[in-house]
Amino acid sequence: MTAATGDQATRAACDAAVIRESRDVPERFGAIFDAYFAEIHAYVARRIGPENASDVTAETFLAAFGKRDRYDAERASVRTWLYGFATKLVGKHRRSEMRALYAMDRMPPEAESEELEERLTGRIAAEGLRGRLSSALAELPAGDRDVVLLVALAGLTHEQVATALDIPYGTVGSRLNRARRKLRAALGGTNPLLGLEDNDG
Amino acid sequence: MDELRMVRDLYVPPEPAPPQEVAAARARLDAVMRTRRSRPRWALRGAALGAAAAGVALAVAISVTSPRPQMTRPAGPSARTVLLDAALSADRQPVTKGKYWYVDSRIRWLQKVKAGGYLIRSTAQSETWRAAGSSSPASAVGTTHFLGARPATPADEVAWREAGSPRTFLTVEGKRVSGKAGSVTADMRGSDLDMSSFAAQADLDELREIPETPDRLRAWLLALPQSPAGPHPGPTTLPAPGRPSPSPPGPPTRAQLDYWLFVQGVSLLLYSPITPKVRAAAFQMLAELPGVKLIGTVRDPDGRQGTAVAMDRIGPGDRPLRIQRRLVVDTKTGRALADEEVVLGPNTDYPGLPFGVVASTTTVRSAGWTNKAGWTRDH
Repeated sequence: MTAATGDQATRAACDAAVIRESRDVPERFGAIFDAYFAEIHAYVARRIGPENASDVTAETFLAAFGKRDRYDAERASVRTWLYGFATKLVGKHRRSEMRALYAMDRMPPEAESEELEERLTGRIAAEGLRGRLSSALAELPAGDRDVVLLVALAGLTHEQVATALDIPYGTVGSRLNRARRKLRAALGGTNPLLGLEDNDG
Repeated sequence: MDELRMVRDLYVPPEPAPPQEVAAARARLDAVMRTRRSRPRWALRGAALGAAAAGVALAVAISVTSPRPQMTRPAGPSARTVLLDAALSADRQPVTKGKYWYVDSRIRWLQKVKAGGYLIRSTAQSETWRAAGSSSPASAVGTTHFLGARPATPADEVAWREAGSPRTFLTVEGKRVSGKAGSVTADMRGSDLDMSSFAAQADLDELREIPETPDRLRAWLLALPQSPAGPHPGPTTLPAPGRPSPSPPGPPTRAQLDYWLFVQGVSLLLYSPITPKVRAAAFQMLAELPGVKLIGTVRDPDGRQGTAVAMDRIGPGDRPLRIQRRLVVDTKTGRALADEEVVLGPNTDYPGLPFGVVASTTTVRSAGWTNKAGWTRDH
């Protein structure tokens, strides 16, 4: 259910125009905050928990505002650019992130509906699996975890991850492969729930 | 085996940030944006230049980077200048003619879903035709097509997936909304538009009488029977069958009249077969309303860029309703693009929506005279 490419291109062009305008009229940057606060907050809250999420998200926009003169529309969309700042700031809250990850096996999400419960039981709420996966995530090198979560939570492409984190494109692939291998191993090498296994690396 | 999918499912959909936290975050940014305002950009360039020249002439570099007297910035655009720009552009447009006045608009609105707390956006497509030869309201016809609802943003989509990707949604108001498009419904009055506006109810004879100068347009609108300033011989004339108003309304305040004029002007500009001269007058009338503020450059949901001006909705006794009405205009052509409502705070119209979101929009994709009567095919 992603928006049409045309919409995204329009949106990216408009965002870039707002950044450009904000260089002379700083208040224009408020439009970027209004458009992306909720999305960035959702990402940050998942990674470090809800307590400091609003503060870290606020700092994300402050950091981006401070660097608006250096934003390059050719390189990244504003959205990708913001995920870069958010991810760097999340890195300063490593302890909160670890706490959030280790809390996951103790606190399975409350199933609010039968449908949701069924889904969770079917996929990942199986005994111990949540804990194994979250521990494995916690044990990944920080840079690898950033890549995994920008893909899994923010839905960024490899290319976007590369620009967001300012790392080479090839590095994204190698970090992701390495991380996936570790996650898979933590889950026992096979997926007992899906009952089938592919061979992609 | 899809570890990435499992990772995504591992994370519980987070609650949206509490409104006071969003407001605090915005306030932090606002404070920084304000402090940057007084610093003209050439000072930065000057500093860079100074640093480069430092080895050659230190004294010069210092003088360039030293504090300078505050530059007075040229006055930026205001709602007034934006609307006057639009008026000038509208006035330059050619007069057009046709058999039917055709309006093609799209209405989108947000609602919060009970299970999962994510937002969905519903879309409906509306088309209306009015026959030029007849001024009878019965000569208007419209169709409305509900196009379905879907998660509003990528973040909502993630939450929607985590809620099991339901096909229908139960909103916090207890309304069931389908993700799928419905059938096209015909409406003989073409009355899907905002019925609080004169433009939606007026027939073509009335529209032909509209004055072409802002002052006379304003006076003419205020003299309409529907106007809050219109003749009120007594509370008995209020159309409230079975629902007697608890107390007769007092005379309208200035703010109430202004808001009413804003709504009429917006509606005329978006939907009505008015001439370029009247269009220009309507923009000028809006430009003179004191409560109208400039929002800035926005993109409407159809992806068109425009400039938004806005007025806050007020209730009886000038009570703020915490909803802002916005008009999006293309100042280069004098076209009105969209009518939007933004949630400013707790309110009854849009329960559960985060503050600051554009809760509903009507984008006018085209409005103009045509000789093609689309509806004859279907009716």
